[in-house]
Amino acid sequence: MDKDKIVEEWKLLYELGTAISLTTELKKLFHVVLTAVTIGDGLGFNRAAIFLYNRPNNTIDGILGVAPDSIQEATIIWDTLKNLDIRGKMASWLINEINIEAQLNSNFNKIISQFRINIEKDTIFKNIYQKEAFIFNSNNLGSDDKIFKELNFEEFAFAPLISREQPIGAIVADNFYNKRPITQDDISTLFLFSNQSAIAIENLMGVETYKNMSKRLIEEQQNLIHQKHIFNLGRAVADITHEIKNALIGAIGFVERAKKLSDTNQQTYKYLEIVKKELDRVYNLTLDINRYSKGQNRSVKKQFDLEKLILDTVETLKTIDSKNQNIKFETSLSEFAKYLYGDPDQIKQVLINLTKNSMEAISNKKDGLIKISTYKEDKFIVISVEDNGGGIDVKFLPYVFKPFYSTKSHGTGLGLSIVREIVQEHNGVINLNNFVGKGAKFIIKIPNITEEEKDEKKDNGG
Amino acid sequence: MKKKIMVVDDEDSIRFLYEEELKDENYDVVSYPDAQSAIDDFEKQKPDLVLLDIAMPKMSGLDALRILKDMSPTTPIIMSTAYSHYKQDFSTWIADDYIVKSPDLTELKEKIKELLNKS
Repeated sequence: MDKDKIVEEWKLLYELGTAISLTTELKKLFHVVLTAVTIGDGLGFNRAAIFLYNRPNNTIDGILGVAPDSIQEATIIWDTLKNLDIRGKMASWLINEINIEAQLNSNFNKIISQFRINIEKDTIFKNIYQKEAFIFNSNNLGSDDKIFKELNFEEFAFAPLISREQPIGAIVADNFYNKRPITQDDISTLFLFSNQSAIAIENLMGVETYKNMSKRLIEEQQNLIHQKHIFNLGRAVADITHEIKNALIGAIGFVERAKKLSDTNQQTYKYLEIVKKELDRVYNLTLDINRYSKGQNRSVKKQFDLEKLILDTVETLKTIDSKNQNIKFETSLSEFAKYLYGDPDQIKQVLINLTKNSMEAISNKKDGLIKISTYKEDKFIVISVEDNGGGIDVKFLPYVFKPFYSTKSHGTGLGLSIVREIVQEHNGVINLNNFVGKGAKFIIKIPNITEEEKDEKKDNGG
Repeated sequence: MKKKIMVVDDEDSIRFLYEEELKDENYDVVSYPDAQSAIDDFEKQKPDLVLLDIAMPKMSGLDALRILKDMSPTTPIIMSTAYSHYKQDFSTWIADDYIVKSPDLTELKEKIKELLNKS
């Protein structure tokens, strides 16, 4: 290289370096770098691509390719650039005038951005560890360099991107359209430029990581604030519910007394009955909310007679039904599921809520049937409650376990949410088998823990 | 002779309801809106049973429970609260029984009868 050429080269690199250092966004930087490699007043290659070393995956990933899609397009671009004469103002031209959209949409970029190859299996990319640039052509290309055949790379320059002694990727460029042979001067300029670029890329990747991290921190913080809000809201609801409940205990008690004092034939008595009914409704809502809100309802688990609990509960439910219609209750209780480790009060609540639901589903039917079954399946005790009430309308299915959602005019919408809370509290799962037009079957599976296992848990401090 | 029940609850309407309902059951009822005044009056009144609310301002029912049991270990005390989790709380163990507040006083009346028959 003669002296004038060296001065030219340094001037060029200085201008390109300025453009790179003024770019503050990583994605844009790739465009600036590759445009500098491909414009005539820059390094003058026809096509160029950036690949980055993906350390965790040990792969080389194609990031961006910049090239005209056809020889016609290339000619138009070169002519335009010739007339522009951007020498001396290359930095600002590169930063402001690149058509990023067009570069992204080129066929060349589409192929490059899909590119991914294991670095150890590739004869070209293992050269990112070398501290020099190469010319590859049919003389030194291996047979497994398929991707370059797909892209019709015949002869190309390969320059590793090295930042702080570490390879971060490579720039690959060729003269696909005008077939100008790549010279050693081209290679050395490209190598100097790729070193400048590598430092800029790595810096901006660091900035990007930092940005992502602070973004995640902010999100995390907002999450925490949100959780705290929910927690406070939950406490507020519990406090308000407590107040309402206490007020209602007095109110309902006295309405009941007033009813006793008044003549059953009087209008007053009827009015009081209505007041009582409405107050009961709100009172039951407060009970449901209490059951729903956690913490108020710490479960006390023990081994208990599940069979007896089910039979007793069915008896109680039959009395509720007595004023209703002839619902038939059927039980099929396995001797292998006679005992359950759990909170009997809570499991009873589950049975009552599910059965009440079934009773409401079949309230307009004649041959209503509710079947409660238990059995053992692997390490689970299974309890199922099944009815022939026509099943749940498909459109309501997503809301079945949602709190405060009810299809009934008088429901609190908490029944099934409470069921699910309790089942989860027992480390169990609940499933719904819905047979539209026939009936619904709720299936609860609760881990079968024996007394010994429970003691072991205690010994292990669990 | 009529048995005397001491009712301690800071909720006016609930206290009044207990008074009325228990008088109907043929008990003498003395009632107090806070634990301290009930303790102050305990020796004078010598109730046969105490119905004690837990969540009260100033002195809680749990503190009052200990003081009353010190004063008279044999007088039955029923704890009453809106929160069912106190049932498992060891600090209520020295009480004779426990009820969750409800507008339906059937359970309460049964427990009172049971405890008074025992003593």
